[in-house]
Amino acid sequence: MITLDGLTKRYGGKTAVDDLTLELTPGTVTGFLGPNGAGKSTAMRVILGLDAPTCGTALIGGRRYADLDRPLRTVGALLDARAVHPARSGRDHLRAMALSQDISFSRVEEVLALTGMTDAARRRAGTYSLGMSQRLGIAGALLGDPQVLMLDEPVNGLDPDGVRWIRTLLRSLAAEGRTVFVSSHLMSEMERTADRLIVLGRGRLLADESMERLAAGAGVRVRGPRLLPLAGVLPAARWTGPEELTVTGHTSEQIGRRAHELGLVLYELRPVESSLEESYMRLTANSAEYGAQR
Amino acid sequence: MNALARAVSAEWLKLRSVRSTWWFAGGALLTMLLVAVLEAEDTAGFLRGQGRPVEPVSSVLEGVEWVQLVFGSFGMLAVTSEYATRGIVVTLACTPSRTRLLLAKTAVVGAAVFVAGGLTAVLGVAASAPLLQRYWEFDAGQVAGRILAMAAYMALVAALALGLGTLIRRSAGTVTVLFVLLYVLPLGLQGVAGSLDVELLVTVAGFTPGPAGERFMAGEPAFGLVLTAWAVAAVVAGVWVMRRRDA
Ligand SMILES: Nc1ncnc2c1ncn2[C@@H]1O[C@H](COP(=O)(O)OP(=O)(O)OP(=O)(O)O)[C@@H](O)[C@H]1O
Ligand SMILES: [Mg+2]
Repeated sequence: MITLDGLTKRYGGKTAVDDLTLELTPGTVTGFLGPNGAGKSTAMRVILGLDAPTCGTALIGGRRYADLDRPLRTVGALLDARAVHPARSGRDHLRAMALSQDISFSRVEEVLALTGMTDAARRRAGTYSLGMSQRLGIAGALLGDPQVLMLDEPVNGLDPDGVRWIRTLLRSLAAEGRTVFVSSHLMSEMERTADRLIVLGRGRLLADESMERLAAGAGVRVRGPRLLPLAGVLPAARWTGPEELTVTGHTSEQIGRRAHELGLVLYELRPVESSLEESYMRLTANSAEYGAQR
Repeated sequence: MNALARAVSAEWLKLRSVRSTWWFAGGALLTMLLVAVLEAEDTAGFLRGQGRPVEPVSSVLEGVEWVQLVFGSFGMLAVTSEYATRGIVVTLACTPSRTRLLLAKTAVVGAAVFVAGGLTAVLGVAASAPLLQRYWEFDAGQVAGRILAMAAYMALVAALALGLGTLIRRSAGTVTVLFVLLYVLPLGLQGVAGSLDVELLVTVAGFTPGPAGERFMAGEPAFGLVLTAWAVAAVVAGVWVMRRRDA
């Protein structure tokens, strides 16, 4: 549904997004990860036509965002929850959005109820807590019942209840066949929510993989008394102990069979689930621009 | 509803759903009444000896000189407040066409100021009546024409400010530029013209928004076109820049 082709965005000399090519498919929650300043928000801004790409294209169902007639009915986005006039009530904020898209005011009440904002809706948005602003932003994204949802750090500021609510919401939206694109820095949350992960570092694509593959990236642990021959036939094997190998790129079935062929005794053969966090750290080790000194 | 009508209705709701809009309306009215009454008292004192007739709108014309800044700030804020609060991100997501968005904003601001400005002028005339009535030659048609011209002038100043606000994006800078354009520029041009003895500059000064507005409100419709040209130029420049600039 969303197609980025060679998308590049430079601000002056600074390349925020660098030659990004990818396709986001319906029915999946795609997580968007990367260190601070990696270019996640910039990519989303370009998709929404807020910033013009330096080169490349960003299309939604084959069309530029600016060419959509009532865009909120196709793409619902939350980029910055605080980007609301503080003197306007949450309800009026949503009603203005609704008027611009020919959406009924009853739909406004629906999304207010869905986000738990009905009671706060008549208050000025400037009085909202971060979590309430976030909920109002999500209400705005859902307003047009869109096929594509794009949320920039939606759980930022939400209470545990809200975090879980977002998780089930995004899962059910994807289950309905929608395209869900969501950025976050919370690895454990992403691990539970996303089907597919896109990792960005300094504007470049570092990984675009399914959750299983990214989280399984650590490999298979093999333990036995004489593993040297096995290490010889599996170039991707690393010694991780005196009698222990860690093999990447092979399933435990393949490795077990290979060991049998070589007549080796094994004490242990076990896939090691690395957490997403570990995989992420490995991927982005060299691309964090604003990391703390270690 | 077509896209422009949708954008207009959204902008109208946005305008009336913030309290500051009503403060501006109240501020404009108060300013007008205060200036008009003071001016009327002055004129009445002056006329008492002479007995010459005076136009019913004379005191209100003086009020417009002040009220135009209030309405100008109001027009400017329709855009600059969006940049200050970053609400522009949501606005552009709803209405991606910069041309359509600024047309809608200009239409809403222009119409609102035309109505509010016209009402303000009517109330200014009413407030001056007790002091000046004796010296009036009241011609309803003429008074109505003058009030419409004043309303149009204030709406055009608001549109001009809206265009400037789009170009500059910040309130402080926009107010400064608006003030210079309305008050300082014509005086400066006349000053330079006087000291260098260049007659052309006096003519040029007459075509800046302030003096052109005075002549328009004094009953020279052609100067309405000059004002319209200023407002259109500012809004078109705003559209042009906004289309080329990241939000
Ligand atoms: N308007 C702008 N002008 C100049 N540089 C910008 C602008 N917007 C973003 N950048 C730069 O582009 C880079 C990418 O920023 P972006 O906000 O997209 O990162 P991000 O991945 O969303 O980071 P975070 O996780 O902190 O939200 C940063 O180096 C940032 O400083
Ligand atoms: Mg960001």
